[in-house]
Amino acid sequence: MDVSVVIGFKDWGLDRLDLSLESILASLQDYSAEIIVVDYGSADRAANQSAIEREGVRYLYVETDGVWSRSRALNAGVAVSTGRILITTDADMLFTPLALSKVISELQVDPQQALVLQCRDLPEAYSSEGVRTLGVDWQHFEAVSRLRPRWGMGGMMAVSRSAFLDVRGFDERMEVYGGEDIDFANRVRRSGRRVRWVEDPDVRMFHMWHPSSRAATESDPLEAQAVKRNSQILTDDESFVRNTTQWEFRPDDAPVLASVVICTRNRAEFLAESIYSALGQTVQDIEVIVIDDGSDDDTAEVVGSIEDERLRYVYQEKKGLAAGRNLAATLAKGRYTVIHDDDDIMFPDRIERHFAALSGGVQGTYGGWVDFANNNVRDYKMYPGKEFISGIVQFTGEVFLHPTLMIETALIQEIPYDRSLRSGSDFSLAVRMSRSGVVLKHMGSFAIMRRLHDRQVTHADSNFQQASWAFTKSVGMQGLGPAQVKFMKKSLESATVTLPTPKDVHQLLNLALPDHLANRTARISLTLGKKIPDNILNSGRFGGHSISSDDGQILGSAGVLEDASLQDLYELRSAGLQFEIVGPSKKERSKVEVDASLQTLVGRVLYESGPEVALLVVRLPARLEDEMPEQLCRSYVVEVESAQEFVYVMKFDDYLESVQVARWWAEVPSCKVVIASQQKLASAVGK
Amino acid sequence: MRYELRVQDILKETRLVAIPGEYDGYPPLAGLILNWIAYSKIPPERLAAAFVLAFHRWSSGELVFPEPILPVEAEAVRRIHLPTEVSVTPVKYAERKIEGGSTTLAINRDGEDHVDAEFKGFDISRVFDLRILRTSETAGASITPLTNTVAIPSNAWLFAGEVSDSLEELLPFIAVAVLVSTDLNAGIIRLPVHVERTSLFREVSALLLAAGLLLEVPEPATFATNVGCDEIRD
Repeated sequence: MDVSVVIGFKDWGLDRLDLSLESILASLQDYSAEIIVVDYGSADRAANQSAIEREGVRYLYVETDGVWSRSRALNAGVAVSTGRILITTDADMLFTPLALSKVISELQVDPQQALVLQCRDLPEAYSSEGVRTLGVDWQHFEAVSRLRPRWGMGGMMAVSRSAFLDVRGFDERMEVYGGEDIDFANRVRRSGRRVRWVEDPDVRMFHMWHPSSRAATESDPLEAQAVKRNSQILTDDESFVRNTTQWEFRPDDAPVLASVVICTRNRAEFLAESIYSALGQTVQDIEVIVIDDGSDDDTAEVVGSIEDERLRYVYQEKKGLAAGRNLAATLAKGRYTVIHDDDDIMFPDRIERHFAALSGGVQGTYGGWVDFANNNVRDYKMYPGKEFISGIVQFTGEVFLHPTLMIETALIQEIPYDRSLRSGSDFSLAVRMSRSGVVLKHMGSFAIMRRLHDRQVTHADSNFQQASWAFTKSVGMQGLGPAQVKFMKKSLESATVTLPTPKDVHQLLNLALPDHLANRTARISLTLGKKIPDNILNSGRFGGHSISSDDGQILGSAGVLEDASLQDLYELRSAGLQFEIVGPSKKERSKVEVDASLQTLVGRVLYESGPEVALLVVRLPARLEDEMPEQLCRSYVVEVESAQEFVYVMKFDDYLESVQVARWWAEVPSCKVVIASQQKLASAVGK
Repeated sequence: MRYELRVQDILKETRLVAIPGEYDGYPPLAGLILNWIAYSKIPPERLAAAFVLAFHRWSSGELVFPEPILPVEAEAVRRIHLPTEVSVTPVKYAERKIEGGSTTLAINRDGEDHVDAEFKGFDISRVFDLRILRTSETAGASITPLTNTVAIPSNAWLFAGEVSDSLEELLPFIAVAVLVSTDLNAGIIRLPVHVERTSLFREVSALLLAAGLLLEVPEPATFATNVGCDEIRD
């Protein structure tokens, strides 16, 4: 398919959309194309489908939680598309007959760009009714329409499919509309494509008049807040790869986000924890490649015991670390490679932070590291690393530690590790990349815990390390005289990175210490539709609650897992559960999570119900046997270690009425009462 | 795109830096690097040509060069970007000599192209074997007078990227040749491989012509062919 045109839609003028679709179909000329209209949660699905579907137009309905998000709607459409070129536009645009075919043609010639059209607003006479009555006259439209400003007022964007996948679509944090198109264009630029506003008299896009939707958005406090959040993302977030921890509408042909590469030889006793820390990242869309450099211990068995399709095991006869990493670069499917050592442990959000720091013009990111003694949890030292200034890498190994690095995979293919170096190939690579103009950026946090033990390469191979260091340094120092050396050393002093000091250092380290040194408790929140793995539920270390609907369907579980291992955390993450690691002091099995779980459920009901509603939540130790309240909209059963609690949710259109009824319930013995509404904060009325 | 020339004595390198504006894509690396510091002033038109050859694929909108360039160069810059509209600044609307040269720089990528730089008598202008090496593999430039070899490490190969047209792939290397052309009194830049005379070829030739340089395509025959002459076939 040459092109896919994606339009987001929700409960708007069908007549406008109809006119728009007809103009798009004509404008696509002879290109093989599909138009996908994404109905993002409209009330009358059947009527919309009937009105929208026709030859060349596909209707896609998406169930939502009631919140409109142009970002997610467009992503949903692209996720089912097949076009090599993607065009996103609105449901109220008319295109001149040659407009889209010319746009497509230009992109086919040069896919390294994003094409945008400047929108022209038609006057009030040209609502959809006006267009039907007065007819389409492109020359007249040109004469009577007004140009919108370029930025912030788009209406159409065309990019190659690979550009869309490189930045992972529109940012799904953005809700309602406003800013998502500029943000997308900025990110496409940061990924290396220019933006071009098409100036061609045959290429025109006209916006049909309709009453302003902006006023409605501004008057709704929740929507206004969402637009403000969008604006903050647009202003503050300089990264270009988004939807890293969750991409709800991920196309099947999207490549993995990153390839974690672990080269190993005879370190089976450490390897499992290294792998679990990678697979258990907040970013799950990865692959982990283990290159076994000729191990003769249990390495293969250790890897084989971890059943995860993201994990790949490759064996090579002993050729060395450099050769192993070069091999991995040829096998990696991710655009980015994350370097990881077989005896280190990643902090759980390491990869997420790599991408958060990856801004335009930067080819890789790295972080600080914490050295710890494998036999003593108190013996540790924190290294923030230094700023990456061109030319200073050859003076010190303290700019960054190589296994904290994430770098474009293609760069490793262009500038491979020097396989003639038995050790120190990482330092050599850093110097050679620096000399070649590669820019790296500190991600502003610690990336790994580096395990210190007597089998480290630095211990075992120190003579070779020294020789490699000297040789590599000569490469970097080539032609530099004493004055230059002095200047560079001075630059080093000012290149320090200051990382925020955590309030509780042990709390931070506990996230990534090996199991024999850690003291972790995982507090698991309710995630609707996700189940805690059975081996964890039955481990004897878990205490919590489950919530079912009144017909017995389990909606989710939550609770506390003591002595959580890295494997446990990996399993929780893989199961899609939300959790946090609480301090080693909180060993008791807490029951307060029930409140948090109910808050999640009630929040969901609120979204579905609308802004004017108040919900009264009543919790009782026994099931209601009498007639149900007429306002009842939901009921749940909470099970906590065999004891049950019954929860009833009542919906009121009038907040004051809910308060009155709440007062009545508050008099019932052992009853807990809460009111929740979007307009007012939840407030406890009774016990 | 704002272009800056940064000469770093400390690292013995010359760096062409492109700073993206609101419409520009971010280039794969911030700078085109050469381990070479020109001792002659690089004429503004040659500097502009080098910037454009290295970065035009990412440019859109306003182009700001370090120094004013002649209108003929500005027009060539504008044309090579088409259909992307660009605005070129600053432009000097005054007469100025366009630098020429008598030698030929034959581009040799990483020392792997075939270049004949042998001395052939005083009637034949000198040909330099311009070996553009990889900064990841070689540190420091060198000149070998007896073989007319000039070896300059550069990161030009990282700009070639995934381009289909072989001329497109050569543009960053041509940029390097342009930057050293004044020091070596070059008037001709010879490509390492035969390329078709496409519209891109014509635009690149015009860009270089306005800077006093001719672009030469290697032919099987023993004499050079300038732009505009018919291709010689066996």
